[in-house]
Amino acid sequence: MKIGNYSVPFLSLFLFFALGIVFTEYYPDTVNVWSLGVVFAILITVGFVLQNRFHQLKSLFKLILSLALFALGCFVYSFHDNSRHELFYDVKEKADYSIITLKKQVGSSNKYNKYYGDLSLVKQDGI
Amino acid sequence: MYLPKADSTKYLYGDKVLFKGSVSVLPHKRNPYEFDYKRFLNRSDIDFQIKGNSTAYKRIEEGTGMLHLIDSYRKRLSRKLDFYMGEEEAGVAKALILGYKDDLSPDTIDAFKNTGSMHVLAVSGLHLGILFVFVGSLFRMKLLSRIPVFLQFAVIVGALWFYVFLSGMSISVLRAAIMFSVIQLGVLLNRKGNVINSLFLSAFVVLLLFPKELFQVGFQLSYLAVLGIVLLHKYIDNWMEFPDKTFNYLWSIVAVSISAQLSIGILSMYYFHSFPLLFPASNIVVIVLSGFELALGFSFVFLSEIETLAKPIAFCLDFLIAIKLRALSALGAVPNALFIICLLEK
Repeated sequence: MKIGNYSVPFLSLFLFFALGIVFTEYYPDTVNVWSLGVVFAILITVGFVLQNRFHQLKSLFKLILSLALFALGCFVYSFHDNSRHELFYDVKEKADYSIITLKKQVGSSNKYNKYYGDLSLVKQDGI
Repeated sequence: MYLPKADSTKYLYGDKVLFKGSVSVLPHKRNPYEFDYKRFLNRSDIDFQIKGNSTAYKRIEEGTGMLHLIDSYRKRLSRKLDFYMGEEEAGVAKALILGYKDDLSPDTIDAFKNTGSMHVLAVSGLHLGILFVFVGSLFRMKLLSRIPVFLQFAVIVGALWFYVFLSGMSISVLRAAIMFSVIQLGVLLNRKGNVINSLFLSAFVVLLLFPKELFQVGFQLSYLAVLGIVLLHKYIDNWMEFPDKTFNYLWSIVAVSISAQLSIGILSMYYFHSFPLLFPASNIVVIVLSGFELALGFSFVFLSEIETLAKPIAFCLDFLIAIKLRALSALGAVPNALFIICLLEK
């Protein structure tokens, strides 16, 4: 892709990846994380094979690469989301204790400091 | 996680805190058109919350590693700024240097917001750019210029990433650090870099690591502003030319802020329902003073342990911030300084 006289290949990279993220945010039910990973891998492999064998198929290769980036966007986003959703069901079952590994302070009010961190849940015998 | 203020200052990055009982799930919004707080927090990867006053808690393991040490140093610097400076000025200094915005008073925030200068309080490319120029200029000195290029690269990039962690790893500073690292890598490999390309590479890397950032206002404004500056600045800068160098420099600053506001204006009005009309004037004050403040701030970061040097540095920093706050308050008090956009709801 070009902006004025500049060739900006990373703009295409960013755009198709971001489109994948937006699609997954608004249509999460249509996206299955593992099948997307497989789609991404197949597309990238096909792209490389085509580029190595048929140098004249540049536009097809670009299309495949764009689709692969879109799939990668969907994959990364849903993978990121799914790993947290698993925890959601554990929280509903009510653990005896929660352990939070602090990452950073994200704000404060008059009474509290607010921290952000990773959560893990443990039963009494896990302590 | 909400911890009572008096008790929570001792907690640092990597510490493990044990709570009795389970955390609570965030509530859904209850009315149509209501702000969806759950969704907003989900997009920052926050799914649950717990309050320290409603349950027993204790630290069961202290954090280790580099990030823990940097966080500890950050807290130490914050306490030192509090000790040497006035309350309001220390709040601004902490936001400016350490990316810690919680001690800003509502009046100070309004002064920056009403004059379109909030970007200075978010540690970003401006801050990292000054550090980049500062460390880079050290290697142009005769004595240090003989150091091999790859070692210079390691020191410059190392300093940039140290500051990224010290300032709380916000997305704007992460973006700038990736961009500067790519540019510096180009210097190392003798390849001329394209800023727009580096910008999109950094956007791609940030999204690969934190995909939810795409929906954050900070991410959108940060990238749009830089894109606008890169694309529009040279044209706007050519609108005027003065015989005096100082005026040309000041006009260049105004051109940067016009480019940034043109690129983010519509998005900013959509999110914040207002538009600061005095941004060219306020940005001259803010950017010129911030340059000096950041130079003093970086010196303070490295010299804060030597009291005889830290004290005068903090004094000068306090003085400059006090001038800036007064100037911004005066500009913010000008009638119609802020154009408010009223939205008619359905």
